[in-house]
This record gives sequence, C-alpha cells and structure tokens, in this order.
Amino acid sequence: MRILVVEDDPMVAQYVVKGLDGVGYEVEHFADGHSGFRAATEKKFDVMVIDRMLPGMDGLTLIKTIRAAKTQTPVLILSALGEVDDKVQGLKAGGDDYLVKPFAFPELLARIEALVRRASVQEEVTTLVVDGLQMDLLSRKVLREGQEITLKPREFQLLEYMIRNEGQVVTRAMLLEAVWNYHFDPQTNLIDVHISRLRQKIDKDFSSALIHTVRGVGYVFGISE
Amino acid sequence: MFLEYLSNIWRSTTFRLGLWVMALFSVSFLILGGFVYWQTLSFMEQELRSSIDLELSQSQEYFAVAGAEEFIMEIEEETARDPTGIYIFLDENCQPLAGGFERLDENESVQELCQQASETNGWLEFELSIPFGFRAEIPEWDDDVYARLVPFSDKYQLIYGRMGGNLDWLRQVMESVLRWGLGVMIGLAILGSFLVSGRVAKRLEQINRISQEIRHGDLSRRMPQSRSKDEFDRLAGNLNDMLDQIQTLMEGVRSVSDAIAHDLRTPLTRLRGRLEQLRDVEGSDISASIDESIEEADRMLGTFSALLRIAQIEAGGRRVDFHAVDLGEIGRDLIDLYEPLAAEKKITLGLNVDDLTKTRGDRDLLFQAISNLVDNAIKYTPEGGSIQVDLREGPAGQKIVITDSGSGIPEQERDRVFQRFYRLESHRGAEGNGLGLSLVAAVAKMHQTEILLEDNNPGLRVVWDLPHDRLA
Repeated sequence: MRILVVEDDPMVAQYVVKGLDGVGYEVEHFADGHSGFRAATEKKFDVMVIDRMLPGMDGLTLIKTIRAAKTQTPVLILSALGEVDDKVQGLKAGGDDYLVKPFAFPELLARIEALVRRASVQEEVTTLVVDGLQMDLLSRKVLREGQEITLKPREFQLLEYMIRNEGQVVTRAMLLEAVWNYHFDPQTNLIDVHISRLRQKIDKDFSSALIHTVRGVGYVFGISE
Repeated sequence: MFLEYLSNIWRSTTFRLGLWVMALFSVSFLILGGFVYWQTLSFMEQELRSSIDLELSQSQEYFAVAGAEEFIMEIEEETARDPTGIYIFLDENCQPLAGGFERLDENESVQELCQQASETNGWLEFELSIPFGFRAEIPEWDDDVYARLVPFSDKYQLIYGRMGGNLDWLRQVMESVLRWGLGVMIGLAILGSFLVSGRVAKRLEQINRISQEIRHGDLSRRMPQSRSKDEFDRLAGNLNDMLDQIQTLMEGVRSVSDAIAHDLRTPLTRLRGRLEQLRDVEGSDISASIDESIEEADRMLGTFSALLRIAQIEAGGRRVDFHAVDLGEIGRDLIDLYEPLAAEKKITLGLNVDDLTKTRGDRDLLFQAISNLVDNAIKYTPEGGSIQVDLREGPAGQKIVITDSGSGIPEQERDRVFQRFYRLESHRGAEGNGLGLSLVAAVAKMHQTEILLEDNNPGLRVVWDLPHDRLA
C-alpha cells in the first residue's frame, strides 16, 4: 500500500512516517502544499494523510485542488484544532476522515486502513455475510448459523460498522463517531459495555467468537486465524 | 546624598506641578492686587481732586462777593489755621500776593508752578514742608500736595492745594503688601510642593520597593494602604488585587505541574518495574506483561491528551463559532450510550426532557462535558442507586440538572474538584485521571456559563444553567 503524507511539522511527520514504515507500508512524505500537490497528481497512492495547516498551499486548498483534478484517493485530514467547524470544513473540502492532534498511532493506522477498505467497497449492498453471520440491511434481520438474533438499533449499527470493516481494527472513537455521531473520547469503558452486550447476543452461544478485543486499540471483527 | 535627593525632588512630577500652580497663583495674585491697588488709589485721588475743585469754586464765589483785600485776609487766616491745605494768591504775572508760598521747597518756585499748570490744565503736584509744630498732629502724612491753579478775574490767580493725606502712604503700604504677599506665597508654594512631592515620592518609592521585592520572588508582599482611600490607595488596592490573581494563577500552575509530576511518576515507575522484570524473564511468555506495559503507557498518553484537550478548549474559548444545538437529542443519546454502563451497576438512569428550544454551543464538547458528569455520577453512585438527568426549559434559558444518590462532595471541596488532577481523598484509588471535571469546567467557561454543585441529601446535584442571553 502506498501512502502520501503531507505534513510540515517534522516531529509529527517522523512519527507518522516511521510508524507506517514499521507496519510495511510505502510512504512518501512532503512538507509543503505545492510539492504535495505535484506528488498527489503525478503518482498513484492508496491513501493520503494531509495536515490542515501547511506552508505554501494550506491543506483544505490542497484537498480541493486534488479533488478538482479528479483524483478520488481517500484523504485523512490531520489537524491541531479540535473545533467542529474545522471538521465540517475539512469534510466539505473533500476529506474522508478527520483526526485531531495529538493522536495515538494505532488510531491513525486503524483509520487509514478503514479508509482504504471503504474506498474498495464501492457497490451498494443490502446483505452483509461474514464467517457464517448474515446481516440483512433492509429487513434488519441478523442470522448466525441459521439462528435469528434480535438486536437493538444501536447494536445493529455497531455490528454493521464492524462487519463493513471486517478484519480491520476499529477504535472506540471510530465506533462512537460511526454509531452515535459524536466526536469525543469517553472517560470509562463505555464502548466496551456496548460491545459486551453485543457479544452476549452474537458470540455467547456459538463455538467461535467473531468480536475480538485488540488491547489498547479497539476491536476487530471476524474468525481469527 | 542630599544633592541626589534634591535632584530627585526636582525631577518629581508633583514638585513641578506645585511650581506651576505657584506661578499661576502668583500671576493671578499680582493681577488682582494690581487692580485693587489701582482702583483704590485712583478713587482716593479723584476724591481729593473734587474736594480741591469744590474749595476753589467756593473761593471764587467769596472773591466775587468780598473783593481782593478781604479775600487776602481770609487766605492769611486760613493758611495759619490749616497746615494741610495751601493757598497761594498770585497776580497775573505769577507774583505771589499772599498765602503759604514760603512753605514751598527751596527747589520749587511759584514761577515753575505756573509754568507747570499751563501744561496740565491747572493741576499740580509738589512737595511742601509742614510748618514746625504741626508735625506731631499729622504724623503719618507725607509732604505731597495735590493742587490746582485757577485764574481769578483777569488780574489774579489762586493755587489751592491739599496734602495728599495718606494717599502716598497707602500706596506704599499696598506696594509692600503686594511684594511681601508674593514673596510669602512663593516661599509657601515651594515649601508645599517640596513637602507634598516628598510625601508622594515616599509612597511611590514604597510601591517601587515592594514591586522590586516581588520581582525578586517574594510574591506574598503587598502594597501598603492607608486609611485615606485616596488615589494611591486605590492604585495599591488594584495592584494588590492583580497580585492576588497572579499568585492564584501561579499556585494553580505550580499545583498542576506538581500533580502532573506526581500522577505520572507512579505509572512510569510501574512501567519501568515491568520492563525491568521483562529483561530478566528468559524465553517464557512475556506478551501479557508487554500488554500491561502498553496499557500503562496508553493511560499516560490518555492523561496527556486530556490535558492538551483542556488547554485547547481554554485557549480557543473565545474564537469559536457556536451552532444551534438540540440539548434534548444530546440527553437522549447520552442515556442511550450510558444505560448499559448504569445497568451493570444496577443503577437506574432516568431522563426528563422538557420541550426544549435550541441552545447555542459546540455539540461535541457539550456532549463530552455532560457525559463526564454522568460518567462521574455512575462512578460514585453505589450499586442500586439512581441518577436523574433533567433538561429543563425556563423563561431565561435551559437548565441541565444531574442528581445522583452517591456520596456527594463535601461543601469545602466543591470549588477545588474543578482543578486539574484534584481528587477527593475518598476517590484516590478509583479509576480516572482527575481531569474529567476540569474539562467540564473548561467547556462551561467556553460557553460562558457556570456550574453549581449542590447537596442532594444524599448525593450530588449538579446544576448547569445555559441562559439565553449569555452569548449576547
């Protein structure tokens, strides 16, 4: 996977580049908007990580220009400002996800992988099927090994998001954003309680677990190898 | 030393101001004094002249009736009787015929007086000796005489004069009063400016000295205040208030950095201990230990993130553009999110939402803040308790009230729980980083609102007012 990183802060850039390099991704880093734009339009990337404030051409302009050049590569915006307005502006400009500094590297990685996956699944589906679990998005029915499981609306949303990101780590903050649409970090094991309820219904009566905890990061869905 | 003192005084604004005031007063004193002087003297001179004119016209009448010889006798009599007046009867050639012409000073002659009179419409001023024996009766009188020469028929002329009386004396007195008054005033003004500027300089010097001490690190010093409540006291009062504020802030900074040092030293020590153990373990399964270490590091990172987040909210407080927020939606989402957590502890979590109008604010931060409050309520309410979240609509605005049946917060601790890292003694061991309520306080302040902690008997009652007019 090829990743473009446009970030002017050398510390943050180093943190991101080293981390992505460490998990085996190919990373190209640029420190200003103009050279970032040149790279984005001349080469092919799977995902781009772009800082909100950049010298030369600022991040939002860069994203708008990239989108105007018909490049549909998913973009993750990094920002030092945590205001909602910024988030909305960033997404309006053509960004696909938004992460506020300071962030933990696993959070960034999980979001990058989710973005890439989302980009690859383009077609509209009405049924999700993973490892013997079947989810009908229209009738809102969930079956595992033929047995019907009754879920509350939020549980359904949680499960849907995890299935759509099957095999990928999803963080607690990502789940909160996807299901409740709030951007914040919960103080306690708030999400864990919801997940454990979901587990009760999905995993408890079956031989193999579908929801796995990734310590310190979040959860991953699927039969583990 | 003394020269330096003088030069300090000279440089003092107050002293110079004193001198300016003095100069101004002196000028107005001179103008006023001069006016009175001139008015008084000219009035008295006028009186004298009209009395001379009156006497002359009476004399003319008498002359016309009595004739020259009788008139001369009358003049001689009068001259002998009244030493303060003088009659000199002359012929047309200015030769004295009768009267006190011998009393003229030796350097004056009747001829000269005639000469003088022709130029001044008859008016004369000259000196006269007072006849021996009269001096004692009119001691304060001077020798100046005001006189007028008038022609009597064609053949004669009469000079009638009166001694100036105390006119000249009065002039002298007034001049010396002006001179002395001015002198005394200048003296007093210099002395006064000196004393006042000395007093001002002393008080400013005190303030300067204490400022210096404070700059050198003794922040407990305060400016002295007298009881007079003058502008210096107000200045000192304001400076003291400012110092109090600075001291509180400094103490806040110190206690926060102390708390950071303390709160992060413990997990770092644990982390180090674990790593130390890992080094000694040979071959066996170390992944559990590594996981624990990562968790420890994550907790510390979480603490730093929370601190940075609070700092960001506090710094960004004024430039944020708020949006319309539906508190009711936040409340319902909150209950939806927290209900499983409460259920785990068998706590009933109730929600009561009035028909709410939209409020202005940052949706995510309001949600985060209220969720911190609910989170705390769940954390510190024992099993089987209850928590109630009320969102009320009043004429002045919305009100968020969160009540629980936990242990509450002692009254004297209620202000301090909003400080960073401050934790109740009884909660020391509990999960959390001591930053939850600090974030709530930062969000409340950013929205220009206040949060009150009250007693719910038992438990805590949090009242958060969001008045409509707060963002006006």
